Amino acid sequence: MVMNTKKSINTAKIIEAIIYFVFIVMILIYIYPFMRLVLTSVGANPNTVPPQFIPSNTTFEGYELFIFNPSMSLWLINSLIFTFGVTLGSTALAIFAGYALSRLNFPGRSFFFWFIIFGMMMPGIMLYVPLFILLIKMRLINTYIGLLVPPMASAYNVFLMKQAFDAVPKDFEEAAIIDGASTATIVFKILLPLIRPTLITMILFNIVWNWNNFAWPWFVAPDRKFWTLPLGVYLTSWSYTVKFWQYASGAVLLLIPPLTLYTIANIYFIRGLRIAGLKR
Amino acid sequence: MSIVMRLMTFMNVRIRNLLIALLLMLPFLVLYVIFTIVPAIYAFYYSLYRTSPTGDKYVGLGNYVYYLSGQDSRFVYGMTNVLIYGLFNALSILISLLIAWIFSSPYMKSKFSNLVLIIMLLPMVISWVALGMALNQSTSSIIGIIRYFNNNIEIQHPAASLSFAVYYVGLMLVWGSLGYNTMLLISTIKSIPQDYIDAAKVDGASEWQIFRHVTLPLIKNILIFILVNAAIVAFNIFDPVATLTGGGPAWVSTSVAFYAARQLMYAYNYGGACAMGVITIVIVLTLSLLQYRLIYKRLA
Repeated sequence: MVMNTKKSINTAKIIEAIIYFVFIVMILIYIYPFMRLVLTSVGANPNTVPPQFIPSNTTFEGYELFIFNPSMSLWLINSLIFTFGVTLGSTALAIFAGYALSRLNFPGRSFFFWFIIFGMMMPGIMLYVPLFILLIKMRLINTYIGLLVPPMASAYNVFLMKQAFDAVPKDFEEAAIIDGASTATIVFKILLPLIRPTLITMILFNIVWNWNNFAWPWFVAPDRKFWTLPLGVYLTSWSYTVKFWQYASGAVLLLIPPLTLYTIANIYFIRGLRIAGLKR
Repeated sequence: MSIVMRLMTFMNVRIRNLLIALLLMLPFLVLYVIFTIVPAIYAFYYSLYRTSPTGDKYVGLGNYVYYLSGQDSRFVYGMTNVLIYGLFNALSILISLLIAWIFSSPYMKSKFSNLVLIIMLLPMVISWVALGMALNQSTSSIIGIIRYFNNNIEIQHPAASLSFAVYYVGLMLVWGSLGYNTMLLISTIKSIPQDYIDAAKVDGASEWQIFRHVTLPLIKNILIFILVNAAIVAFNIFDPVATLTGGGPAWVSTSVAFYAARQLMYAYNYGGACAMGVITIVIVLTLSLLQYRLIYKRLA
């Protein structure tokens, strides 16, 4: 009996040791690349033997370049326009369409629902191919309309809003209808406050996705004037004239806003990932 | 009579609702049809043409024959790599199953398991433009460290190596998705009623036996679901390929989406890119239908 307890104490120790070993290894694997990027952005060269961890001469020139150089700070402004424009537009569209699909009983409702699900099943990137050709024919390449309007039609957001509205019991609205409330009052004063957690999650994810999206601007904005920050950083990083710390600082600028949002509101992000499977 | 009247008022309500609903959905539906449905149909139409600066030429199914018969080695690379990346996604799920099992153990303080999850989920919210750069630089710095200790070894950066570029991208995909899969599996494992596990313990089952015979069968459905999803996601891989290797060297690490985009943007091959688009759309829709069948089977 004594032997047995001793043995199980030892096993527990071993298990704990394994667990915390895995824990530390995972944290290192996930933190190191970000640390490396920040070090590079202030001038520590990763390509020498041995790699520099402390820069030989610290420089913030890359950051200055991306923030103050007029042709590059334009990308930052474009990124902000793209992020907030698309997020606002698609959220508004999704609220209206989601409300109609969830709350109104009309003929063909399930048809419309499956019609929208169909769009969610499409491989997004591959749809950009014909869309690019269509936009050329419409002369919308290299315009803000071409950049901002197509991504607003997000079937995913509509689906999320419909699900969120579905979860609210009908009693709330019926009480409001008896009190003589209009549709607008019901949506804005009753339903939206009730689904606020889902709404916040959706908006946060949309902000992060749109900020990070670089495939779409790459397709529709060949002109430097319409590049967003991810596209600008990506395309300059392949150029041989640009120094390594310059594009690394662009990348650091690129990851600061999502990182900040994620740090402040990681509960919403994790909730969104877990419940809705919010994933590109 | 009254039944007819009531039916009519009922119908009127439904018709009125239809009008309101159409009005509310109109802005979305217009954009959705123009920018999602029309392109999907247009892709099929345009895939029947061969584009050239002097004018488009109708070639019937020529583009499909050209690609599916394997005459374009870059397309073959794209398709094979999608399969390889799908397998790496599956590998990510297997590893995350192991990690989820370890981190959901009672020996781990939940404070720590939350912390490591939050850190592992970072790649989900950060652009691949930054991630790709960070990973490439980390890799070259690690190569630098190895060469510092043993200068005789000549190591190439895997992103520039003909034989390793694909596996390098695959491994980085695992790095990117591990947190997400782990989180899903941890919450699934935690949703298993404790009674089942206690009952197994009373019967004298070991940790592994519990995992093998209690946990695994109970999470089998969600596991299959995630696996099918891994295949679907593989067809959409674009950013990691673009930022880690740029599809290179010599197109060996390209995904089909990345190759189609480059054909479209830099080679003026609209018809060919559309044909690749249609092939992908057909495969992905088939997989998605399979996935939805799985969900319904699970609900039923």
